Amino acid sequence: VELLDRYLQAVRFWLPKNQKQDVPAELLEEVRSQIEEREAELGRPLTDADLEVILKRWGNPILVAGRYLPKEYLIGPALFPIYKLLLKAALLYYFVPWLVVWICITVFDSGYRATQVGVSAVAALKPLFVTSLCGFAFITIAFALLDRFQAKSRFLEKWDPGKLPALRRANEISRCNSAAEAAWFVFLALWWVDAVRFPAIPGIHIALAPALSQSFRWPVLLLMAASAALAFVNTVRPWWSNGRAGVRLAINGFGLILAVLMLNAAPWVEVTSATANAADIARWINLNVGFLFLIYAMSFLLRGIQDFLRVLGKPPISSRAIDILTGA
Amino acid sequence: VYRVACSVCSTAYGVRYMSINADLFENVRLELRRGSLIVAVLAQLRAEHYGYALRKALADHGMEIDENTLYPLLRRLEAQGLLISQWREEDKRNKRFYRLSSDGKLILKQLLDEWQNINSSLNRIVKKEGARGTSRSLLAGS
Repeated sequence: VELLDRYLQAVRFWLPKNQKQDVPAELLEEVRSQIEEREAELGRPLTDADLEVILKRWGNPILVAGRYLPKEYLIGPALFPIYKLLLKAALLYYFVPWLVVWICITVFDSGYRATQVGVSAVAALKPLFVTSLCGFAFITIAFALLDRFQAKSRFLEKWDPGKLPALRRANEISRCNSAAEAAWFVFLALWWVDAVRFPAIPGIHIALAPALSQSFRWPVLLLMAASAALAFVNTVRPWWSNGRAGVRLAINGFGLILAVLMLNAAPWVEVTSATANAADIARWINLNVGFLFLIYAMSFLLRGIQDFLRVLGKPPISSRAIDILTGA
Repeated sequence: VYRVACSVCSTAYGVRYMSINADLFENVRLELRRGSLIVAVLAQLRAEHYGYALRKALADHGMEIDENTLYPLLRRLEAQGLLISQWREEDKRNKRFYRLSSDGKLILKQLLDEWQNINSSLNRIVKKEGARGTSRSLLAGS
């Protein structure tokens, strides 16, 4: 009997206040009836072991009590797919590249590697984990609030079929994207040849490392000029032809080789400062530049795969993640 | 050795397939039963019962239901106003007796009509598909 009381006490703990007396009393009556039935079958009083068998069949108290509770979600099934997509995007476009860049720098930069021993390595990764955790918490809280709002306002049910996105055409090129791409490559080329300069930070001089600015000067300029020219043509003729897909495949291949070579040429930036800690600033900037190179490398690779398929006359892979990375 | 390996692989695949199949059937069966249980409980509670007696009465009619499903369902139906409950002493023990409320009687009538409609539709669909299957197999035989 003590075992039964302990079981009901455990069930009671998880029940809502207004059911704490009622439900256990009803369950007690059910168990008593089951005990009587079993005793009649066996022709003897039940032992604790027999009672354990009955309670085991009833299940864990938390599960038993859970059936009396209303179904509650932190993020309900209506918004969960969007929440999951956002978390995946954050993982794919922030966490993974950051970690890969850090691993690359640690592997290829012997000077940096020497400083990353024991606690220092953990300390270097601390910002990544703190930012990721904060990002995860922020997204989760935002969606939990949105879910409550959706439950009241039902805003997802108010929709207009006319506003659905246009049908995706695999070989269509967005004119807006091409124009922005052309402008970006022209700006980047001007910056690369020192025709445009970013505003200087007082007391700190930031410059590209000679290994990058001198050895890669002409190949990078060629890549930017070719990309800008292709983007101009795409703005005027906004669809992929086999020929143009082939040209971009060649540009992407060249870009991928350059990005990999540049990733190996770390450190990419030199910082000199009389006041601030130049080494820390340089490390921070190099980490971000590495991150950019890696994104570029991934973008070149994915564009290459898509263009290769177009050249073969096959439809490119349809994926939202690839679209974001390739700028399609 | 090759034959033994193949036979072990196919047996393992067969066992796994059967287990997946059994799980799948169990899931679909539970979904099918869920709605029917509500109708069965409401219909049985046209006469007053307490929990254990209700479970036994349903089991006697071939509708087994475990306590972890029945009691929360009774609470839910009572909260929806379809059942009325009352604590009463019987055989020197406190028991909670349930019976159908007036709203419950109305809903049960509608549910039974709906169940009849679904049943006849299903019968027509199953018979039609059965007839097609038979004619197809006859054609294949000829």
